[in-house]
Amino acid sequence: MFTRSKNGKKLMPGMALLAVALISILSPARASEQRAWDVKLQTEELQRQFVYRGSTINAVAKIKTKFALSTNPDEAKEYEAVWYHDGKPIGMEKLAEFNIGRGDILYVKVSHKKSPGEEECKAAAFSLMRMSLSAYHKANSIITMTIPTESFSRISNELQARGCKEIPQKADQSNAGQVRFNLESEPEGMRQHLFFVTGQGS
Amino acid sequence: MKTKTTSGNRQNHSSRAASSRQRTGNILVVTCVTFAVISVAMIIGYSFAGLYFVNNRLQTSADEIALAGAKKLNDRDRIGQMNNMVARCRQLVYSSRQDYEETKKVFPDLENFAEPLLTEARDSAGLLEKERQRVSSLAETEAMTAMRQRFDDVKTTYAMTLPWMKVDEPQLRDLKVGRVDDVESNVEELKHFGDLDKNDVAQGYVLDLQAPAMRLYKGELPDGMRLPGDDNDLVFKLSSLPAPVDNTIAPARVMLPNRVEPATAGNAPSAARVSLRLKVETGLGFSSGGVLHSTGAASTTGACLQQ
Repeated sequence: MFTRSKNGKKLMPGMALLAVALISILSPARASEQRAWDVKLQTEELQRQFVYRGSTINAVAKIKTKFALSTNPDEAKEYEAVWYHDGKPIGMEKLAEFNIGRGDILYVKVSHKKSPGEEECKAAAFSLMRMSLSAYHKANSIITMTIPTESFSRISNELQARGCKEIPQKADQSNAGQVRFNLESEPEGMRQHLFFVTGQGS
Repeated sequence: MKTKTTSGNRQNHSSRAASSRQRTGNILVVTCVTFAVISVAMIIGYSFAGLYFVNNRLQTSADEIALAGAKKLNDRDRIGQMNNMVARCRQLVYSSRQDYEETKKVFPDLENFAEPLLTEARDSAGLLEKERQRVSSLAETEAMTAMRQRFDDVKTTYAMTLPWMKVDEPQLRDLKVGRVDDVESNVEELKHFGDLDKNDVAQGYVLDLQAPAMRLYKGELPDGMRLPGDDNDLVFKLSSLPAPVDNTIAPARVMLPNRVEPATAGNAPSAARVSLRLKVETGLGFSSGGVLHSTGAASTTGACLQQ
């Protein structure tokens, strides 16, 4: 396989071909392979938080984000936890790196630990917006955002209060905003498509 | 013969009786003297025992009063929760700023989408700082009130007058709250923000203990913790508070008074210290007295784990 030149060793074409083959196997050729992820946002209203005289932040909701490959839902990994008060985030803890690849598709699902209160619904709406921004940065498409029926309208109302608008049924889709929220209730029943007007303000 | 014997016996008998009377008289004196000595010794003994008892009791009272104040400081884990949330708010602002800057650079059309997310994070930092100051002030006020109340309850049980001792009501010499030296914050280092992690180590925000699992943020930094870049104007302050160890919360406990240091201005205190003085007199007839001093200190309940 090897030949020697008067100037020293050279890689033969065979070795070069082998190197290219190795690189193509080891490189993220998977980038062309789109993976589907389940991203779960679990909401919970915390008890006995900031209990002191004059406290203005004693209603706190927490949202934990977990993600797993759709083909392997049992191996969910905790990504982050965010704490909210009155729909606004007050703290965040990152628990792992976000391993979702560029261009992967996401199925976001909101769930509640117990019957959700107002705090949790507001927090969920904000969390969906943050998730959308993160997904946009990585060119991830969020196919659906599944929301429990009991909180569907409250979360939708909160998104609209934050500047999202409902896409009319006959609207020209090309004029729709870049950030879309395809809401779907579970058990299946209600669907709603919202978009956030970008560029010139909501 | 009989007569000689009788008189001889009579002589012997009278000399023995005389000697016996003399011995009885000596015993009486000796007994009286001994009794007196024993009585005096008992009085002195009682006095010392009483002093010892009162001194111990005064120390116990000082500890009790300090503990009553210390328990109030981190009541319902308000300081622990605040510390945890302040540290997490800092992460939130940093993450939001990263998202916003990247959005502005790569997707300028989305700037009006990302900006409110950053603004709300920064607003939350301001809100938490206000609440943190409220908690600090409230903790101090409630602790001092609790200590004074406890003192008022205790002092009425002291005054007494006994034949060998007189005890007055104790007086409050000093009452203060502070922090325990060498105790940092209860917040374990938050990770997964590469540049921020490095920044925190470089700025000395993290206590670098030998065991990596116990890397805590330093408490009571004079200028608090800051963020690099445009969010440098925000201040994130953590108070000193014992962290949970192996999921065990440190109980409020009595400690050595010399371990209590003043808390850095603007931070919540986590320890209480009280000094008492008590006038005591002892003795019968001649009086001798003095003043007993006692100092008690206690540390507040440690933080719980973040929910």
